[in-house]
Amino acid sequence: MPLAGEVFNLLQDVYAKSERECAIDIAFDRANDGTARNDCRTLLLAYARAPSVEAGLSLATRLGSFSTRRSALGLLFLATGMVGQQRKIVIARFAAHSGILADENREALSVQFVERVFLKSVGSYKAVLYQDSVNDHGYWTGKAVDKQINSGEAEVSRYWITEFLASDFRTTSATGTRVLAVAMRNAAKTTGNLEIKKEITAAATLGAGLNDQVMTAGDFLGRFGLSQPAREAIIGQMKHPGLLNEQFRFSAEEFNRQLPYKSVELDSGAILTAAATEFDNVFDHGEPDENGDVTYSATGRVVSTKFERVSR
Amino acid sequence: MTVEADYRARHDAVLVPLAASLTELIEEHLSGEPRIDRISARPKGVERFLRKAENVDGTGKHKYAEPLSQIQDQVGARVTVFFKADVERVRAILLRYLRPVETKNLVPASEWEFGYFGWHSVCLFPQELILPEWPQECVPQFFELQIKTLFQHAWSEANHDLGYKPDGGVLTPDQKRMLAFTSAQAWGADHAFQDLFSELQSGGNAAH
Repeated sequence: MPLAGEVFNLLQDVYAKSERECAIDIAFDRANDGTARNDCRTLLLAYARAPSVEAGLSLATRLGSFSTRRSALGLLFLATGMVGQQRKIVIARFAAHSGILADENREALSVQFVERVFLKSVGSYKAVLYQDSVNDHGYWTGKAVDKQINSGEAEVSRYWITEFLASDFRTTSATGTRVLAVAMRNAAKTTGNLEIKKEITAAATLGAGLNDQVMTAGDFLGRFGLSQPAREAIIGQMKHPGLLNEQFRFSAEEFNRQLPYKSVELDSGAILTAAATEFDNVFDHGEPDENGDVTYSATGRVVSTKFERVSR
Repeated sequence: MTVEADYRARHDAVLVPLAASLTELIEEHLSGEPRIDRISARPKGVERFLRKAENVDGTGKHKYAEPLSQIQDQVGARVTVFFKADVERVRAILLRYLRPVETKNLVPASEWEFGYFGWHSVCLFPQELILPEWPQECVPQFFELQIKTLFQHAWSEANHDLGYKPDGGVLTPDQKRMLAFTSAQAWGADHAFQDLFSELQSGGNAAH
């Protein structure tokens, strides 16, 4: 397309901003037999080796094959350039409309379906950025953005990353969850601040309910309204702060594996729960009396209350 | 800068600490797991890297036009386990956390041959190991992971020393058969140990 005009300016903007906007680290999946083969990556590599409309069309055709009624019409653009010895490629898909043209001529109003698509919104697009050396081992990882994800089109999102790109988050469900859980566990263990301990314990108790949700560690901390000191204590336990923004699918199983909970049930019906490593710090209790009764006490600010059906 | 200077710089600044943190991470993932003999990760030495970078294909052309980005085992990690079933168990645990781009069970090409056996994978480095202060161009994307039994590992180490003549010449047919014979014995030992282990685990009487 001509390297001037409004569409060029729009795409140049997407291309230039891609490093900042594409924040979701993704990686291509290997083939089911374990070999380093991925159909989408093969098309991407072909495009990287010799960018052309024809090579781009293969990617567009692939996207078309995964498009459904739900994902609706879209316009696909590829923008590429060299950054040092590496080739940068940005693939962007904009939501589009088809159109009906009403043409009022002298005799009558002529209405016809136009087999053309129109950009729905310049701000509503999905994009993925790849930049690597052009060789057989390049282009395994990329960075994606879904500027439609907040509109509740989770289905569409799956179609972009999982189906079209044949990719998944670079950080596995277990690793993302583990990084968060270990940081929480270590923060609770090392802090001398009882408030922070309690906040972390509360978030850890409720966290397992988020199973299978896509999030970053930052999202998790935000969702439970952790105070700034508690956030800092947790982030301080991560190997680097960038891990806060790494996207992954939360795993309750891994969370419980890394941050196990101890639960004590009394015959009065009370159930006391806390991180296994912290239980004795957050609950004070004495020795059982002659009847075997024990008094537990805990102090803290109520950060949430949960009603749950307990199986007995 | 030459490939040697580039690799030497990344080796010292990034690969050495990266391999150390990879060892720690794998140890953490496998903490408490039984029958693991050894976990280690190390960077490829400068000499060995340069030798590999010079490799040529069947037509005499260099295999790696860009060795710094194409050679994927600049850091290699190995987990050595006791028995064959342990390979599967450890593999399943590690693949929960790691993102492989390739996995393969290396076996000789024909069922009538004996030689190298072992499970290999090329994985992306987890983001938690990549420190932001490292120069991006020095950080490799991949590492090689091997999970092998003690016998598989012992054979490959011995083969590494004995399988190539110091003067670059080829082994005689009988020398090759000797190596294949030791591989067959290692293969048989792995099977015998696995059978015995499974039998004892299931409460069977090994003496029968």
